[in-house]
Order: sequence, then structure tokens, then C-alpha cells
Amino acid sequence: MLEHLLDTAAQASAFRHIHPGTKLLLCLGSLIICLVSPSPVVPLISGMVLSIVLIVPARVSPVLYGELLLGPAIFTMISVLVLLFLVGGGDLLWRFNPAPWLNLTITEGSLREGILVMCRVFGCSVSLFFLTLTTPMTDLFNGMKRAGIPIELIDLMMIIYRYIFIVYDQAAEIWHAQVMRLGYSRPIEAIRSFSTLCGMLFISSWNAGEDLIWAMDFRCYAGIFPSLDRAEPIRIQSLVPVAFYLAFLTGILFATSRGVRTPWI
Amino acid sequence: MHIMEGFLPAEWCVVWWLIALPFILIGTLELRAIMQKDREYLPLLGACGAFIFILSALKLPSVTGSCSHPTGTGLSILCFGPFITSVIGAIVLLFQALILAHGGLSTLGANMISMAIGGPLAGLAIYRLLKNTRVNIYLTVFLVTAAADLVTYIITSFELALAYPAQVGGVGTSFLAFFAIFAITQIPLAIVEGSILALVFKYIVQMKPEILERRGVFSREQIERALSAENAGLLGGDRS
Repeated sequence: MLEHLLDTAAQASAFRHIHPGTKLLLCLGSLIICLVSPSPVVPLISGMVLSIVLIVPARVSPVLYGELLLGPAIFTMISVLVLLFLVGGGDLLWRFNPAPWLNLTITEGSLREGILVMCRVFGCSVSLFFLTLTTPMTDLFNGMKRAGIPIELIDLMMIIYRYIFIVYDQAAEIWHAQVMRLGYSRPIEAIRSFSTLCGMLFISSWNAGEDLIWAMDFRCYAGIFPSLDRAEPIRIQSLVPVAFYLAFLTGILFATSRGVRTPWI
Repeated sequence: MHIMEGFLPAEWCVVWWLIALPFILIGTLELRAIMQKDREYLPLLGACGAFIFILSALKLPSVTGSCSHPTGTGLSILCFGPFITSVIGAIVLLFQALILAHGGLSTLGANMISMAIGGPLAGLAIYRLLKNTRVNIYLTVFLVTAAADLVTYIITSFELALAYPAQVGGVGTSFLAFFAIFAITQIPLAIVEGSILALVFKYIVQMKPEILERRGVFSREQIERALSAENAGLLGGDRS
């Protein structure tokens, strides 16, 4: 799981040194536009454009990106299948009676809703991937500090972030040892093994955390993690394309939403 | 349980974010107070967060725009209460969205309400009900954890039903449809998670009973009773 961390890809991205604020603006801007769009066209275009940007100029591995998209794609397809039979409205397109008490129908409204949800998940997910595949967590922590997020919250985030790797490494070691000793060969055995793994994991990560706090106390830790913030300045060369792109998406949003009743437009 | 990015319509994203924010604000203030008072809790806070992250990352696909997984919030609610748990849960959900692409930013409010706020509050209600009784503390932990897990999925089903009411039967039918799909994987998972967390708690009682006592999770009498029951081999005799 953690071998394929998005953070590792972000460190290697060609957009790594662009100011995180610029990337956050693009991510949140396109995400909000995709979310409020009543038409599937906007999220579809946004998703495709940002995918190309991620693979070509940002030099994100197409294999990694494909694997990343596969998760939401599978979930979306299965979920949209359920929505097709659940929501409705409009003309009847297809009817299926697998049992006398079960009447499954697909209507024009449910099909429209299904396509919209599928495109919206695609557009919004790619907007988020743009941020996560180009911005390492350390840059985000520094960005949060500058944005005035309470320091206690950021410190806790940094501790949890560190602990995740401690816990994961220990979990992998214990799990391999248990598998070698046939710890997961039967269901009851598996529950017992997994419980032991979690119990040991919790205690050992706690101990590791105490060691970390003591080590930091010896280095004059006073409740705040000082960290070097060497973010690149906001550059006009990256800000202007982002502004143009968001204006372009807003234009399509208004053009495609004429005549469609929504709470926002 | 993580509702994926973009799955909920914009108006529902805003509603769930607005409901979640006060919990996060109060939680942050509580966190500030607890960190100023005693930094010894910091490793426990971090361990709770990482534990929730790892447990809730073990996901099984579910046919609901979401997935099934243990939530791991039971331990945090017992040690730190609902507000700090909501902060830890929010951090974990944010990390999962940013590092693993599970969940999302627009659906973070809805995911916080179900996993970091609603589920833990249900667990807290069970805990308050059983805390001052003679019920075995491990049974209490089991019930708290299982309730937190199940209620998380009930709330997720409700969130999905509100966003996508059924053509026939409205929100009620939609809720039943979503929960029926979740229940296949989630009821056994809640039982397994309850058992696992009870065992984790057993380790904490053995190794760090003082911190539970100081946090007022259980009284000294209850902890000693549990320890003496273990020593007498009443809990499976694994210490014999």
C-alpha cells in the first residue's frame, strides 16, 4: 500500500518546485467548477486536460497515473450501476424483472444522473490528483503554517504522518512473520493473528512515539516543530496559465449550463 | 465508508462541511489545552491517528460509491473524547485523500461526519452507559468499537440516500438499499474490529494502565479487576 505513496511521485514531479499556493488554486478552482457543473462536459474536459498536463509537462508516470485512476473508475462504474436503478425521472428506457417482486428500471433521468456522476467523479478526482502528484506533504505542512492553521494541529499532523510509516513498517514485518507461521491459514487463526498484530502495533508505535518525544526533548523541543520552509516564490509564469485555465473552465460552465436549472447558476 | 471525490452533489458537500466544522474547531481548542497541560499524551495521540489510518486503509469495495473497512476510532473516543477524536479522524481522512487517494476534499465533510464524529459519538454513548457499571471493561471496549463502526456506516448510507433519493420510496428506500449493501461486509467487520480493539485495550491495560486512569477512561478499581481476572486466567489463560 504505502510503496505506492503519492508523496513519492510528488517528490519526483517536474512541478515539484512550483509554489504550493498556485497548485492549490488550480486544484480547488477546478474541483469547485467540476462540482457545481450541471453538465458532464465541464468535468470531462477538466479531467482530460489535467490528465494530459500531469503526464506530459509534470512527468508523472503514466503507469502510476493509470493505476491511480483505476480505483475511482471501478468504484464509480459499480456505484453508477446502482444509481441507474435507484434514481429516476423522465421516460422509461429499459425494464428488467429478475423476480416477481423486483422491478428494475432505467429512465432517461437516471441515465443522465449516472453520466453526470461518472464525469464529476473523474473531473474532481483528477483535480485532487493534480495537487497530490505534484506537491509533497512537507510543502503542504509549510503552506498550512503560512495559512494560519493552528500550530498544534499541524504538529499533530506531522506526528501522525511520521507514525504512519513506523506503524506500517512494523505491521509489514509482523504480518510476514505470522504468514510464515501459518497465522492466517484458518479464519479463527486469522482473527487471532490480526488482533495480536494490531495490539502489538499499537503498543510498539506508542513506545516509538515516546522515544521520539524524549529524543526531541533532549534537543530543546518546546511544543513546536521548527522546519525549514524554502518554498519557491509565487511566479507569474505559473499563475497566469492557472488563471487562464480556470477562466476557460468557467466559460464552458456558463456556456453548458444555459437552460439547466441548478441552485448555483 | 470513504465517499469518493466528486460523488456527492455540491450542496451536500457544503452541508456536511458546515456541520463538521464546529467539531473540528472545538477539538482544536481541546487539543491545544491537552498539549499545553501534558505532552505525554502526544505519542498516544499520534499512535491513535496512525492506528486509525492503517485500519481504515484496509478497504473492501462496496457497491455504493464507497467501501467497507474497520474504522479504528473506538480507541480514540475512549482516551480523548469526541472532539479530539474528530480532529484525529479529520487528519486521518485528509491524509488518506492526499496520500492514498481514498476519499476526497469535497467529500471530506461527509466522511468526517460519519467516521470522525457520528460513529465515535455513538461509541461514546455506549461507553457512558456502561462506564460505571460492573460490566467487564473489555466487553465495554468491544461494544463501543462495534457501535462506532456500525453507526459510521449507517450515517454514510444516510448521506448517500439524502444525495440520491430513490425514484420510488425516496430517501427511506435509498437508505435501506445502501445500508443493505454495506451490511454484507460491515456487520462481520464491526464484530472483528470490536474483538481486535478489545485485545489492543488489554495490552494497554497491561502496559500503560496509569494513562487510562489519568484520562479517567476507567477507574483504578475497574482496571485492577480486569488485571486480576487476566491473572486468574479468566480471559483465555494466555498468560499462564
